[in-house]
Amino acid sequence: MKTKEADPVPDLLAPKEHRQTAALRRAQPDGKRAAALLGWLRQIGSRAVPALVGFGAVIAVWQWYAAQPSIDPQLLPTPVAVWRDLAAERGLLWQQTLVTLEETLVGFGAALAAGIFFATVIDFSPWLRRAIYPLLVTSQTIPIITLAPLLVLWFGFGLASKVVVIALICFFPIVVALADGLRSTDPELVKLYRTFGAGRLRLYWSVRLPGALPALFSGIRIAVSYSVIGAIFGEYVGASAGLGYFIELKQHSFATAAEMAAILVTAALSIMLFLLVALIERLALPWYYQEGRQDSL
Amino acid sequence: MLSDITLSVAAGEFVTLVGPSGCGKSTLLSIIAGLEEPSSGSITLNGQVNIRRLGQVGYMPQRDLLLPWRSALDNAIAGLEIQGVSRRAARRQAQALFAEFGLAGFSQSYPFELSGGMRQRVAFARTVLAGGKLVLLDEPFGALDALTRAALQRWLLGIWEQLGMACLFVTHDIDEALLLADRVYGLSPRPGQVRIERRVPLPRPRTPAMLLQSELLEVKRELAGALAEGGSLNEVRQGT
Repeated sequence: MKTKEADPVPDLLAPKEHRQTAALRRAQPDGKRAAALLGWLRQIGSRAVPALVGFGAVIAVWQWYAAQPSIDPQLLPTPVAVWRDLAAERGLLWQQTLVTLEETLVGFGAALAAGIFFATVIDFSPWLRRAIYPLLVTSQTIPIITLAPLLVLWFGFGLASKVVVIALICFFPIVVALADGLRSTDPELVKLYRTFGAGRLRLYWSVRLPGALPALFSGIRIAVSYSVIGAIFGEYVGASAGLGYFIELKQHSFATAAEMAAILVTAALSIMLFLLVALIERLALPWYYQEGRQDSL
Repeated sequence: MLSDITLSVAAGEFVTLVGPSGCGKSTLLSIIAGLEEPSSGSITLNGQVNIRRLGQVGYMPQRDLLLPWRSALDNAIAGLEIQGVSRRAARRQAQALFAEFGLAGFSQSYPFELSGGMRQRVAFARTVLAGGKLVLLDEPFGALDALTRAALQRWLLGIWEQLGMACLFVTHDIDEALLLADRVYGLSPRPGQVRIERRVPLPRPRTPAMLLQSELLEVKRELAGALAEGGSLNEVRQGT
């Protein structure tokens, strides 16, 4: 068996990617890790079948109903018509998707950074917890829908206003999840590491934060599913590009099928980001799933 | 919680502290480890009175408390790392200990892949590596089944004889206390007080059969009596 001393590259000196892949390799010796991932994908596959049947049934009923002569296609287009518009507008839709995706990723990144920051600050001092927590809760009681036009006035029609909307929507679940995760650290574990002479920073970095990562990921999953909605929302209120802008435009010209095509793309984008997070979680926390826990997927 | 405790552990000595649940045994260990300070009195470690003890004494809790995201070897070096030893040097030290602890070949395994007894041994390796000359054990085998516990008791004695560190071992099991120790302290229930101190009149290496010798039965009776004073008898768990 290969021991760590035999590792030719000292961990901390290695470039970051190398360190990460080294960590992954360590996490599961040899092909065991690949097999686990393959098993997971197969599991998703077998679960996808009923989901696809469900979607298929809904689409079939929709097609049958919308094709009735009494239904105005401008009010309810058939799935086939939506698909036709999707294909026809694919170039334009792709451009708008890239705009929305960029806003989503930047906004979500900002939310993640802010979330981790606030959760950590809250965790370090009970005084700060009492000072900051009410502010955070209050920020969530504001209906963003009423605030968004103001945000557009403040931050303009471009990227910034969307990032602020997304970050406002997304950071809260991250703060709450991580703060709870940090709080639920086993007190015995803290005691043990204190006997080793660990200070607060050391405890945070080596024990409490890694232990809170599963909780953090729960928050991230919720946040990421809100993030695309946030982007669409920001665009809807005021933008010059993006899926939300596209939807609004089509709505005004009663091009319902094209509007629905864009909504479809939005949903696909959300699902894709959610699955991406699930995949990253799998890779980052192999220990969490190999302890016999089931996926939430 | 505790009052009038006078207790000493000599270098290389194995001392057990036996007492009913709730007599403050764990608090006493927390104080010795430096997690808490006594409201009165003093603690002398390596000849120095009331020095900072955190990071100086090995402490082993009842549960193994291994970090699930770290391999067995990296769990074992946790204390050393915090004390500033480089990861590479710490791993080398731990690897050597793993061989002696019967864990060779499991250094890359994750805690969930190990049995309860192995996890406990990894935890003990972590304690020994961090603690050096004095190791405090807080009912480390309390959560294990009887067979595993017996195997680990035997194993612990072997390791102790080999490494020669001082051990202060807390238990509520009189048989366990006598089997392991050079000296036994008996604590009374609330407030915890040292009621009795006895040298265990047995040669080493020890075997469980020795616990049935008549001179030991006398010590056992004395201990059981001391522990029960003022408390109900069923608080004292007497192993057979």
